[in-house]
Amino acid sequence: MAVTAIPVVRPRKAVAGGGALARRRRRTFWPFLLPALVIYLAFFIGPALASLWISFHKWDGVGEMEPRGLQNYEILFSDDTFLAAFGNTLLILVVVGAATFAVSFGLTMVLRDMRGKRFVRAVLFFPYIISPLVLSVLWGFLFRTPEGLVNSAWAALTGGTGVNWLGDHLFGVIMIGLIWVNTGFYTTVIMAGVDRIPPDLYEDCALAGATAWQRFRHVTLPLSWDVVATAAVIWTISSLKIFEFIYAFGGNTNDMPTVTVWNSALFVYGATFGGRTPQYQFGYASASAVVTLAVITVLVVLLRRLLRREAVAF
Amino acid sequence: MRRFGIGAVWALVVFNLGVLGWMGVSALREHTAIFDTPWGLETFGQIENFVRAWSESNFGRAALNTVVLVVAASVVVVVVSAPAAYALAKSRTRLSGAMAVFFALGIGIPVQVIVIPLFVLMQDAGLVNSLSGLFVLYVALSLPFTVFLLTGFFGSLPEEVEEAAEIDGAGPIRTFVQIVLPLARNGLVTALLLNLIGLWNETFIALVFIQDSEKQTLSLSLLGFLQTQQYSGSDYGALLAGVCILVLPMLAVYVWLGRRIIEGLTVGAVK
Amino acid sequence: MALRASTSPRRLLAALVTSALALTVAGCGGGSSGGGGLTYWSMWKESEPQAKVLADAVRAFEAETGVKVSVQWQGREVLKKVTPALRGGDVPDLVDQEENPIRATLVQADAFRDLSGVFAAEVPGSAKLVSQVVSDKYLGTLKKDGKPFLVPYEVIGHGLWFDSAAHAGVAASPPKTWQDFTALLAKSKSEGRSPIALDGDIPYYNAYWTIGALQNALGPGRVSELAKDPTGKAWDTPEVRAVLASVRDLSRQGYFAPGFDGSKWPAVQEKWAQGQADFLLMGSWAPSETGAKAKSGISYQFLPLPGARQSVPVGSLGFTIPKRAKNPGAAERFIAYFMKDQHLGRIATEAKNLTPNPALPAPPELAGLAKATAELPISRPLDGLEADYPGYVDEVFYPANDLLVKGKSEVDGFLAQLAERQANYWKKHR
Repeated sequence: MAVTAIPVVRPRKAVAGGGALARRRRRTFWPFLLPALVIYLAFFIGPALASLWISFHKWDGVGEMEPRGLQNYEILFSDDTFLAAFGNTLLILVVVGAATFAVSFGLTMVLRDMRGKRFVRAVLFFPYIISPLVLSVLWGFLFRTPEGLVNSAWAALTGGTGVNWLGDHLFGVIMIGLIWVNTGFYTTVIMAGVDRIPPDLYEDCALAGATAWQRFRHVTLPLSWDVVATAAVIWTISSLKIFEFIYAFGGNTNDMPTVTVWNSALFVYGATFGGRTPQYQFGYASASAVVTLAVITVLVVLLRRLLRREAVAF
Repeated sequence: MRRFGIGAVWALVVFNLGVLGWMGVSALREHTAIFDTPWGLETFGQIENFVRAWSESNFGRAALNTVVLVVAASVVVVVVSAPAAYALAKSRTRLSGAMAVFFALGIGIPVQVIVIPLFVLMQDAGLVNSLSGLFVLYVALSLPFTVFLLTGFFGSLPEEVEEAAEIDGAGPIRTFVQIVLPLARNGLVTALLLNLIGLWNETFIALVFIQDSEKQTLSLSLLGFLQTQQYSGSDYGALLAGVCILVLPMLAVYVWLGRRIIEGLTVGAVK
Repeated sequence: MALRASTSPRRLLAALVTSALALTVAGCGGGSSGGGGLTYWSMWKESEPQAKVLADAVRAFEAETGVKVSVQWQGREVLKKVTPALRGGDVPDLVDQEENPIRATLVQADAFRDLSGVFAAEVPGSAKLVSQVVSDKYLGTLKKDGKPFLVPYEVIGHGLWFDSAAHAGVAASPPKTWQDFTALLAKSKSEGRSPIALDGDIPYYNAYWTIGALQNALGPGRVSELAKDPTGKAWDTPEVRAVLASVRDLSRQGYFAPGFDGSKWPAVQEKWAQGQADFLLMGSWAPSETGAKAKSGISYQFLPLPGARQSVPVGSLGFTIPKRAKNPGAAERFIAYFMKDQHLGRIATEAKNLTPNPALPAPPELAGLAKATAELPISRPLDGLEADYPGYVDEVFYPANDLLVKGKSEVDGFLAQLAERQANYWKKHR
């Protein structure tokens, strides 16, 4: 989710070194941080460490834990269900991420000097505030075959029956839905970065006869780079937890959707509380979460390396 | 090319508004008609759908619980996160950088994994099946994201203002409360609203930790109502009416304050 | 144990933080309810017919015995609340749900109370024991190591449903063999109707066809044995192949109503209730789920899925008592009390479902089902795969079966995928 923040640590004038302000900040650092830190440690990190511990056990959540060493992890790496789910997580991360950013940039370029920009932006943002559960009910109505809106429109235009969306391309439909939901948010963020680019730069470009692509490549992208980089990190972390939108493609509110569209978050749910006869494999589920989190952490670190650039001053 | 772009943007706007309109219209239609002609208007005007959804799912009590709980939790999480984010944003040491990443990691931990240890913890504290307990959990679970978000805002505030306050002899707490917080107002409101939206829709934690029906939240009531469709008969009209009851307050908040969210995001992203 | 050790140092800290924070939301607090009486967590929501019947019984029980009952209408997710509490929290004295989720939670963790005592108790005022009221035909699967864990009050049977007003011929001479049945389907198709309604996005509806056909060809319990094979290759026999081919044939012949592949539940089931398709293979919730919105004049009729070794897959819904319940005695008394005709009978008359007491009249919609359960052998829904191997159907059977039923894979492809997934499943569930 949200915007700016930490990951892109911008090199600035060194403040930390000296000065009364810096000294005072060092004094207030802990008192300011402590309440949040205590809550975070008690209710988040503590249970998370407990889960790490649980991941070395076989445990149904009720009885005694049975130590298993690294066995959960060994099984995990040869579990096709997990590997497929993890593959879907990566697919969402890369494909949905790339498409969302491409569409968001496209929208930004169009919106930049369009009339009604504020209104449009507000409308584009709104799927983000609606419960994903609701959105996927609607998404189902749009794409159902043969009577859905998409296929009805297709039939009206071409006379053909069109594609069996939910039957043959369910994961594709889910990915399109995710792009739709996320575009509003990332458009807003990227626009914030693009809006601060001085308009005279674009005028210079126009004078020099630059094409739209050249303008994008040499002005827009480099000058909004740190906002984009931050947004990319946010996307990477939050794409991990996408759950409800996919879950709601199951038949009923009790049922898991078909295993071929699971991502790792659904895998965790499926191995614990999910389904009509839940598995309650908390040790194994914890191990899968640990692995996913570890891989994503590595990706975030790599991404930060990759995206780190000197911000262009202007 | 450009004309095509503008056309596409408006098409998307129409689509989004259409989605909303369809939901509202269908919530007032009869079940069988929704399936026969999903995009038609026959049988429009069934207020009973809303009556049924409201009375059968016990929304009244749940609405009160949810409003109090979600507003309180959103406010408190911002109050707790703001100083921490400020400390992290303004002291550029190795430690604060690591701390910031440490908080950010929490965003990626799926709650299904920590729920059992969390339950044991809450049990020991006597906070299972209580709205205070749920409140504490909501504050805790919203914390990583809020700290992450606000760190960005405080990082974007100009140094000069604080230096001026310093020269005027203001103490650190006064500087923070009287100078920094008002400057970061947009950011705080954005954080508040995003938490409000997120917690309003939260179901899983409430499901596990709340047991008495008079302590239910709205999303929990809606889920219970949706599930009666299994065995007791499906009624998509009433279902969508229930969904509308959940969505409309958030939509109202968005129409009223949405500009703030967007401006907040904008200001935060731009230093 | 290690988990507890690791949390206890944090306990004080947590208590401090929480009490400080709790002050800020004055007025929403409150501990757990309860006291000396009986706590009952139900799978129903208050507005549902079953809840009304149970609530009336609770009131009558309170008046007669003086035991105070506190009911929470938790809804279908009731066990998601019970499970975390099993480890040391406040558990209710009485819970109800379907047998499968109860088996996966309370029974699997050995956290249930042996209900032999209830079965040996007298149903108040009837001079009969509970074991004489509840047909033992339904009890075979409701025991673990000989100890009963569930007292059923509602029975769900599975089979074909059709409108006997529109298909009087089928009602008069129901098909007994698969050949008779497919001949019927072919005739319906040739007359321009849609023979079978199926919401193919619900994987267990697809599985009812394949497993139902297999159960009826091989006999009850055999599919469960096939699923137990750690290599997943046990399925590859000529007998199984023949059944799979006949299931694969249903979509090849175009017997499923349009939208079975690509629409969303309950779209096709709606069409069936409107008379746009002939048969629906489903549990006995079919009439109550579609009833309110069905076309007028529909007359629901049940037909066991035809086959050489016909059986009726039956599942139960009922009461269970957690081992750590504080007041199990009162819970047992209430269960026996609810088995009185005046209460249990209303599960049939008002909630429109079959009761486990064969002496009680079945609702008219389910008369055919009541007759079938009395005459034919009983089997388990999905042959017990879902019940006995948690996660198996989701991870192994459904993905392979969806493709077969929808005609997107052939028998060879199905067997190969099933074997691979089954081997993978048993690797992690050793």
